[in-house]
Amino acid sequence: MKFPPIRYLRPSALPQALDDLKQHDGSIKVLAGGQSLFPLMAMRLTEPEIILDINALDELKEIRDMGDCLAIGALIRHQQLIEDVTIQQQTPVLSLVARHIGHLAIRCRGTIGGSLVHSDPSAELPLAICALDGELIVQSADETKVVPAEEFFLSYLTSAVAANEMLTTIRVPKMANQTKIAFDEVASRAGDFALVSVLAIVTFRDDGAIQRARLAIGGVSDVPFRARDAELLMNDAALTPELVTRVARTVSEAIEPVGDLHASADFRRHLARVLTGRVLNKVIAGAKGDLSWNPSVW
Amino acid sequence: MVTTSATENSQWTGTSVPRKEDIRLLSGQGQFMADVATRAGTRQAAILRSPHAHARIGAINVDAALKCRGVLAVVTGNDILAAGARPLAVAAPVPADYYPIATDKVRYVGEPVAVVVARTRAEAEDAAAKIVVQYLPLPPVVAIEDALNPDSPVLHDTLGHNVAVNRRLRYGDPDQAFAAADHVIAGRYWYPKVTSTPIETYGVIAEWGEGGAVTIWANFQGPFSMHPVMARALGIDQNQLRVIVPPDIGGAFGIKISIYPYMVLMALVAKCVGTPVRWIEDRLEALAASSSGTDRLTDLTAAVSDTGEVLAWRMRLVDNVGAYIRAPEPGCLFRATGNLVSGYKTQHLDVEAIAVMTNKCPTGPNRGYGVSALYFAMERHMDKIAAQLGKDPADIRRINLISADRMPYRTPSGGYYDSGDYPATLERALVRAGYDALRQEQLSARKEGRLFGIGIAVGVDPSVSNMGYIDIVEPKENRQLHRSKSGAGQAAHVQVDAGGGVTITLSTCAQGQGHETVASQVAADVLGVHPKDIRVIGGMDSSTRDWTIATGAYSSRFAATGAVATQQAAQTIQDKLLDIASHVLEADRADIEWIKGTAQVKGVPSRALSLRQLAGLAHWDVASLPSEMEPGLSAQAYFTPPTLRESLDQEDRVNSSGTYGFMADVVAVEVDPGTFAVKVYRYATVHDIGKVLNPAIVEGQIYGATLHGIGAALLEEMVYDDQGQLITGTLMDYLVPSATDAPSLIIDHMEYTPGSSLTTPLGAKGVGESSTETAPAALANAVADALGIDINQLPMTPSRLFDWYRKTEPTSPQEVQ
Amino acid sequence: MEPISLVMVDVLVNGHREQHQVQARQSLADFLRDQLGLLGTHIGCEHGVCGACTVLIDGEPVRSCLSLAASVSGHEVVTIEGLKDLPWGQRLQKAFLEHHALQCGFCTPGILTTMTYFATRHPKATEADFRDALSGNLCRCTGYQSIVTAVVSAVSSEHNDA
Repeated sequence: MKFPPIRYLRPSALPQALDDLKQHDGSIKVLAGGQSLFPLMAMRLTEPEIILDINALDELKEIRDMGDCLAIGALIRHQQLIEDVTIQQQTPVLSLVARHIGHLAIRCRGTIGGSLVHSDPSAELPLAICALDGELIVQSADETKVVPAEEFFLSYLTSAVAANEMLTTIRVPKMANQTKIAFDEVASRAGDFALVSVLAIVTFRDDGAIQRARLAIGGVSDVPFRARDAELLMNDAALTPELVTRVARTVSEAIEPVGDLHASADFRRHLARVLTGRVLNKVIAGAKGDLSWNPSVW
Repeated sequence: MVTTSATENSQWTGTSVPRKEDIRLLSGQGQFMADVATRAGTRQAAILRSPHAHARIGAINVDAALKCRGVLAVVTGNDILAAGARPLAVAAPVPADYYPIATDKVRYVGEPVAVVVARTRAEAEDAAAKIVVQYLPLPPVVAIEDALNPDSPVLHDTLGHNVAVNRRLRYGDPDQAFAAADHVIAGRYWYPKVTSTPIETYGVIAEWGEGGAVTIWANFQGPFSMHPVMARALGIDQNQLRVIVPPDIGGAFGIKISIYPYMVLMALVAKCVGTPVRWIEDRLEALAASSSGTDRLTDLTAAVSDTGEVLAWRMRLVDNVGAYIRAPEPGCLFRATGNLVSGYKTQHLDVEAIAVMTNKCPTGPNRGYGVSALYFAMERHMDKIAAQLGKDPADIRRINLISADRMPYRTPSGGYYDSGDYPATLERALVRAGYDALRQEQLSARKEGRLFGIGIAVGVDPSVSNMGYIDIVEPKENRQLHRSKSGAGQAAHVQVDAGGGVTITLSTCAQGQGHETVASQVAADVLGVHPKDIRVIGGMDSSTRDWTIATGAYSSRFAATGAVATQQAAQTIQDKLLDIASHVLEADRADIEWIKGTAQVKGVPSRALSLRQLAGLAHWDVASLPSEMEPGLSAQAYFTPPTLRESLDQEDRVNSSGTYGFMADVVAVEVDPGTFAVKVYRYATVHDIGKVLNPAIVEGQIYGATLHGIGAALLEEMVYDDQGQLITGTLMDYLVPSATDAPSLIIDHMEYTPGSSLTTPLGAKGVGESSTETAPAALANAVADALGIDINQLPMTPSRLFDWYRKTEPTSPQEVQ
Repeated sequence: MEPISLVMVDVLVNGHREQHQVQARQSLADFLRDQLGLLGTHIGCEHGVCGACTVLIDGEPVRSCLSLAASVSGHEVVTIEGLKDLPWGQRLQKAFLEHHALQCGFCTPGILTTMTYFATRHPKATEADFRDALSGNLCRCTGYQSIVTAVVSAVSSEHNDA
């Protein structure tokens, strides 16, 4: 399982990296954390001619406060999402879901940009960015695009980033006041890709009714599934147990999961309903995040 | 039969001395197979493997591969045949030739088709991708039921069907017992194809010397009964084949028995290319094409009395051995012959033992070999019997277990259980688990709508396999005179240098069981030295060490054989030291005793000679020795349990193992009603394994063994689709338990009565497999109890539990809010 | 700059400066073993699941099978051979010996490097936290309990000493 022959580039500035992408269009692959790329290369499922190692690009390692959002560099590692105080305070959804990504060594190396471009529909960060309506800054030597999350994930393992482009920054709206978040996932083992995951972000009005609900389901489609119908049911309503049951049913009826080795389609549909109910009940209970999340340690 | 008092006054044996192995392993200084230094000129091999489950091989074009950078040669099946390869001997009497590389057809995904030899492994892989093989695909056979169907495609044309073994074994009078039974209870069970996936993969370095002197380095765990098999396949005499095993093997669990075809393959490749060849298996190769246990279909019918006694079993055991019946298969069917009744009093057995071949990876020994699948079916069935008779699962076992006063006990199929108190072991497990309280907890949990279940499984744990059990594959009329097998010989060598330093040389091929430590404990007690001062040489070299064809670390044998051989060799040394002391001190031999490493005239501490002094004499001063005594100070010893000095009898009875331990597992689980995740709430396991030589090591074995059983119960399965494609080809899909899946255990042991073992002088029985054999059943019983459903199949993945539960419930399960 | 097939690596490994030319495709694991002779880093799966090859890069645990040797230029790598020079590395090695936290020892280097990082960063973590941090390192021998016990005991004896 040795990597196929490659040539190697490690630019030290972003414009140079974008030039390299332009010059070697199609035969070059960006290396961020490598935690998805290298297994594919080891199995020779992908054989890029050139590896563009962007790990020396310091401009992609910043977390900047833009007022209403954070601009997170594509090279921010999962473990930083968990441990960085600014992210914990301003975009706690990222800290919450990143906790479920792979294992410690994977989280220390893997990056937010790499995970989003890899576009695995059962991965945690694509789900979070979808639910948050994040914006993705995609650059090439010739232009800079701002891609909304719903246009970014095209299909299974396919994002809107073309071969000559690079995802450089992720803009994530800061969490609004009076917002409760909850996340839960079912995986075969801790750290495995989720069979199904559900993320709820619910902002309440002063009167206790829901001002805005966001609900995203992972593992049930070729891209992260945003449960818009279910969200509409919730907006302006009171989050009662009856509504939770209705929303959960709506979600399970809206999805078209496919079965695989680890979970049948029916089981995925069932899990989507169960987990939707659970995360919304957590929201009702006011729990910030899932019960296994222990901020005192992290 | 065998008596000794050595362990009764032991200082070290029976204590948790820190392991000798750990110093090197904790500092990165272990010597594993991939760490073995190679001679200059050694080339690296990569294997091109079949993408088809079943296909005829047409032309193989290697031109492009040969042009790749760094490539020395490409070796195909035809080249191997031309180099003089002979088929690997198989234990089953069927015309299904097995070579270590495909010659005419490929019969499983991952079967070797060509070997590329290059300067580096990476270059060899580059070239392998350039080989063009014409395959003529054939329809595959994947499922056991299809393999049994005579209309299915045939893997081995010379055989004409896919059934490799079909034996009927009858003990007692099962027909009469069934006729007399009050209840006849039947069930069908499926056990999955699982592989213990040692974290270190296979590795081989092979050299073909001038005149056919072959040296192979490999992380081979034995048994060295494969040594003559390999020599024959290579077309050389056995003494021309030198097999060297490095001191550290990164886990084996039976899987590293089945490396031997690759040892043969690489030796033949080395012969073809004229340089030493090194091959380190990668994980994809390991998962597709190393080895696994069989998937087994079991039909059980029990003849049961109103009182709950199981009078007779009818068993139909069908093992799927994969594409070839690779030795030591069909051991999977027969390893448990002596303990087919497990710990129960049942006297009548009617067994159909069938092995079929399909287009899956060939199988071999895997922790719990031939036993986990048997006890999964039997212990699930005991719960079914209990349910039908309205009895508690604990009671149905109480009724049937062999009582202690019947020890030693001969089973109807020939097993010789020398000692043990099975009912007391079960009772202790029930107490340690808090069984009665758990049943109360279950009542209240159920009132809250929670899915809480309790499972019990017990079993006789066979260890130290008798070579002779495999003879059963032949019906008695076909057995050849003077070709029977028996025994389980293990050897050890102890030497003392001129400075009194003790060195033990083993040949047991340890894979983490701490043989070096235990050997030093045992010898330290005999020679009166500190274990840390003893040097122990692990690994194996078939040309320089003491061994028999049963040598190796498999079938949980070291405590009952290798440790004994070590003790006996050390005792021979002690005897010689006493002889020298008697001579030098001019005292009667009977008046000399060995106390704390010193030979001393009884009651006269001033008249004494130390080990160091005596060793000095033995090496430096022959004149001081008794006139007939040889100089030097070393001894070898061989040991086989005396109860294995018997082979298969004319009634198909065989004492298939040297020791029989016993374990009782009691587990409580809670199943999440929404996600169907199974959480182990409590797991108590009590073992009756005789003398515990090193408690920490034994506890480690039980923990590891139990988790292998839990893996098979909840996570692990090699899954093939209906075209024979392997779906679980990476460790992302073949799921082994991680730290967060592993429960803490309550472990306890039955007390050892010195001298109670009639089979092994140290009194220690094997424990390496133990709860691997009971955990799958215990968990299945617990989950079935929790969900109120029948469970006949593993692993119990959440997706499956959801399906099974839904089928038995009128409506789909509702989340408990 | 043109992409290159041979890369000069300049890296600090266990406190020693190493300068070597490597194939661009060479993994860090192969570089450590084949070029530097640091055989304590074990290769178990080469696709990032088993964790046996885990080393510390700039103090953080990384799968050396999922890293290029070329990428570590300018960084600091610590392998099992260098753990004795880290306070938690040495403490854990001692605790592993005392608690029989290994059997075959093949996965042990990756487990020690991972736990050294985690205990250094989170010396007050709970048993459940350590178990979770360990979940990316597969061990087929121990059933994990003795490993968890060893780590927890090292942490608690450190608290008691403090």
